[in-house]
Amino acid sequence: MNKDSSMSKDTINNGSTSAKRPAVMEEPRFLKTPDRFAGLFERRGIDYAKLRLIVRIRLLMDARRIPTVFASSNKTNEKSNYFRLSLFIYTLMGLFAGLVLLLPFPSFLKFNMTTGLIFFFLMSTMISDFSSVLLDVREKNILLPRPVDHRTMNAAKIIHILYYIFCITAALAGPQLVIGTLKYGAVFLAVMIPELVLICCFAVFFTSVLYTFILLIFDGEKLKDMINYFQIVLSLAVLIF
Amino acid sequence: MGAAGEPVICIRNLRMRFGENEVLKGIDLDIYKGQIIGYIGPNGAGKSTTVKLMLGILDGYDGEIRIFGEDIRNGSVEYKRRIGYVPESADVYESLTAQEYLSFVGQLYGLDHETADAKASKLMSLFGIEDVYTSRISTYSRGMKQKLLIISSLLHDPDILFFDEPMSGLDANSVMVFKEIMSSLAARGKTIFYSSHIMDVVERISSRIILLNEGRIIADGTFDELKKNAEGSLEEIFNKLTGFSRHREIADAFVSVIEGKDASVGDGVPV
Repeated sequence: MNKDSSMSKDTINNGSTSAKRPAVMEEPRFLKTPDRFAGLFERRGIDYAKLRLIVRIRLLMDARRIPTVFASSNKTNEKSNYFRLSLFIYTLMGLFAGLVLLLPFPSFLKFNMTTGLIFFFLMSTMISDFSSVLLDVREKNILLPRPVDHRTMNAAKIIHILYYIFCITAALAGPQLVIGTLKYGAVFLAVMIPELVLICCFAVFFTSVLYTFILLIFDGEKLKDMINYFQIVLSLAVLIF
Repeated sequence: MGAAGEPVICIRNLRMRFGENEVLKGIDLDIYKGQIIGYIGPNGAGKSTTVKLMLGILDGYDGEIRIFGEDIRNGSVEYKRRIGYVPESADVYESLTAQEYLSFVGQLYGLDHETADAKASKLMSLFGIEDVYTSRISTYSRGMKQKLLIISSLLHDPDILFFDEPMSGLDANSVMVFKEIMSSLAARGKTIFYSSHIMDVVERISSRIILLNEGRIIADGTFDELKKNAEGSLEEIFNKLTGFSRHREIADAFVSVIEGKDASVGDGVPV
């Protein structure tokens, strides 16, 4: 099929001698969590095995997607897990937000500031990095011709999004939780955690409403442009700081 | 290659609209095993829509679609295990390697990882692209990607195949191999839906030609049967049956515009 007439090549053997086939991608530990609910999924008519497969692949692609915070670096490493690296950066940003708690301002102001910062960082990340996942139309074209039904596909998407938001929020709010608990005691923890859950919900809600609104007035192309502008601004901001 | 008992695909009075626009206006079709159907028609005739409805990618149709004897409205997606699809839009997960992608797809179809991997790597080397098996799909050339799509549609040994411009991007040698693959599959009782705009290929490989225009089937039969209506190649029959005869006029006007002269031909009705 190519100029070398591959029929005569000895690559057509039982394949086991090919040394360049790496091992199966290692299982992300996260998958153990939904595994426990496998029965629940099956009862609602979702094929858990397929859902697991889809989520796993999405996590693999996450590791390869280059987040905005790295956009300026030129060298792309094959083996790096970009998602993990970006979480590290978000933890630093979270530290910056957490340190606000130590400033000599009235408590009310400090809590507002940290909450605001968390919310802002979360929204920025969601819009710049995760839009491509949230708004992906090609997913349907790849999965639906295969024996995957809508519900399994959507469930996989939801689990993936939940995992993503959880990771980002944990990274951003982690330092602040630690500092706050050390300074204000366990009450801080008990209140902050439900509040974080609410912040996440609000962020998702707000992003969805924003996208819907933009799509109503403009079209998909305009939305893509706006997301791009946002990414550019964010990259510049990261660069400057 | 004629009727062999129950049809594998049975469509009755299929209608579909997108908003105001009725794209399919009552399609009736019986497809039997081992047929290679040349599914042709002008742009917008409804070819991709029919295929997407059969595959469950689109929904909201009226009428009945039965595949392997089962009404696909019953909600089960298992029938798709026996179907392979090469779409015109080459959608794949670009950041994955071929190995990861094919293993993933294979497992969705019910193969286990080892079987999928073994089959996939052999198929890749038969197509001459084994070197990129562990490279990311984003680095592939057009032809490589197309070969990958073809492999991903055949990996699970499906009984029905939907091919939409499957050979676009393939070099002449690969095209020959692919045509042989199709004849071989049909001889083994597989059913193939071949959709393309390249009439000479359709003419030569199809055992049955279905011509769709504006949501209706306007011709259905072997190439010889179609020739009774109009002389000439399939391309010419196509033109006649879809009522198109202004190609020279349009071409002249087109070139005039390019050259900067005023094109005052007709009413600018597009091709």
